Amino acid sequence: MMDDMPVFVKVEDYKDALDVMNMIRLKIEDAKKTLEKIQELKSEEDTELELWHTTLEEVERKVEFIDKTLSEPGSM
Amino acid sequence: MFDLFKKKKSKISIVPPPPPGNLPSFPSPEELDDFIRKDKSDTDSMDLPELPDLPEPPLPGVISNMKFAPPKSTSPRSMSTLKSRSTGNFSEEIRTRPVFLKADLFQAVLNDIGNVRTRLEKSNRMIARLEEVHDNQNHLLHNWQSTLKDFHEKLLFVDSILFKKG
Repeated sequence: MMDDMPVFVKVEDYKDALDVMNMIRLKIEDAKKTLEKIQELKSEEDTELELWHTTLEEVERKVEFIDKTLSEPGSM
Repeated sequence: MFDLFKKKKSKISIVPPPPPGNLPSFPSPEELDDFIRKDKSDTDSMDLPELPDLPEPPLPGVISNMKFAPPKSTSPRSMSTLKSRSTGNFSEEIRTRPVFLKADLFQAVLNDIGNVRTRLEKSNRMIARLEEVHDNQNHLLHNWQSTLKDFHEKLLFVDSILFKKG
């Protein structure tokens, strides 16, 4: 009989709990916005790194050409 | 064999009809018409409430396909429904009066809080790891910047040798 009866727990400072829950909700929204901003920055960073990689390969090709030219002056 | 039925026949007695007393008489057709007219006028003069608009009953073939569920109005009021009504005085009333949560619901809330705490700790570790990665990235970028500077100086040196006017 006692097992079937519902047991309730009194919640003290219910108002404070609601306020904290609202604050947490706002913090989560802030965290979401920050994460979106970080993802945008990371995307920009990836683009810059790709550009850097392309530039480096171009520089490498030019240096190889200079090196080849200087090593074999007769072939010019 | 038929003597047996003869005995029974002799025992059957017919109950005599009851003596005629003051039986009610049927109304005459005129009296009946008057009564019907009077009853109708009484019904018309009564102030009866209007019948509610009931939905059209489904066809018998449709009933077998319907999914029956308990009416929504019979569901117990939860904290969320109470909160959705939290406007004005009702909100203040809810906030000031003692609030009780069902023990199993309270236990579920405690479990969720523990779960959130674990995830927050994990997030903190991930942020620390990200900071470490960023520090390494910054260090490598500084190295690359100094290498690039050195490379530029050497390139200028080679350039000056090649284009030196002799």
